[in-house]
Amino acid sequence: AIQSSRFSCVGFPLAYIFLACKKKSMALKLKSSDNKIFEVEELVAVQSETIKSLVEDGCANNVIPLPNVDSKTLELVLDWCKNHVDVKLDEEKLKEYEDKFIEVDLAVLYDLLMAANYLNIKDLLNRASQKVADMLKGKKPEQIRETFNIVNDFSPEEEEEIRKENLWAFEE
Amino acid sequence: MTKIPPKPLLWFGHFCLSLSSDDSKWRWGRRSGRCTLSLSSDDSDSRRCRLKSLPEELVEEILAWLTVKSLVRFKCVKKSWSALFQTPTFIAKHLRYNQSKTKNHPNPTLLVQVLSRRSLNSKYLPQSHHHDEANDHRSVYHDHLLQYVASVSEEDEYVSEEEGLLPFVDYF
Repeated sequence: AIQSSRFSCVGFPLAYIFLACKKKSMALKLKSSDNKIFEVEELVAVQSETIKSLVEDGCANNVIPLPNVDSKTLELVLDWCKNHVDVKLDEEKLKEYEDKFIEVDLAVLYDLLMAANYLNIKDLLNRASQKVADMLKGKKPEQIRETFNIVNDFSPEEEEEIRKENLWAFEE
Repeated sequence: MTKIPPKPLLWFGHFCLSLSSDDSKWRWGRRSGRCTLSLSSDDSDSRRCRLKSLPEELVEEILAWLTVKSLVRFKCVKKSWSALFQTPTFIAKHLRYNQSKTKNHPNPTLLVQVLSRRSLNSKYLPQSHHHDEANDHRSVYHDHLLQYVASVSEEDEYVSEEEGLLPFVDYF
């Protein structure tokens, strides 16, 4: 009788510690390209399909290295993820957040695009590419070629032909 | 409706089909004032250089967010872009993105451009049904196009249904 009571005395705290540990294991560690460690809740991190599949495959027990994302960008991306965890969040507020979030310069947008693509976060990829598209929409074909470093493979005659066929699109 | 002089290369009716979700596009002239032309002047050279290394798949994501007018204008940027804009997957993606962009304007329109040997007609047709599945667009737009071709044929003796429909089918 003495033994069993001793067991329950030890068992209770043990179970408590076990549960607490289990709760803590819901946090994932992500390592950016510049070796900074980010500890995030699994719920936040699995908005990245890339991380989600790592978790599902049981490969997320240690630190997850993200060699393509620097700490500055990862911080932004995780902020986006945190704000998109709660699906019940007011749609108006979420839109407000997204609009503010995406008001960054082209260099940051580029980083976000690359990170969202690598981490496979569809809504972030969409929002960032939409933002770049907004910046491009009034541009001339020459400016587009310059922006994306594209070599024109049309002959002058061919290009003229296409322009003539689509004059309306060139009107101011 | 814009009239252009006859050209030998346009002797066969030619269709350009694009999808637009903004029914206020009739007012291009007035709208163009708001277009952003300042991308290159705003950003330093180093920033612009980064966009130059954007992978093709991400460039495609960005392009799918553009308006029909911009897409038609950017047809002459590069041969592969012109081809890309006509692929069923790109058309479906473009429609999907533009529908999600204008949730508050639930009246996407269809841009039909008919090029005959003596005239260029552009017209937006209202899309009466909503379909989220890419495959469903085909029938809806096809019906509208058939109606439009029929009406154009009455006005313009040079456009017959046979001339127009074959190239149109190629677009899907």
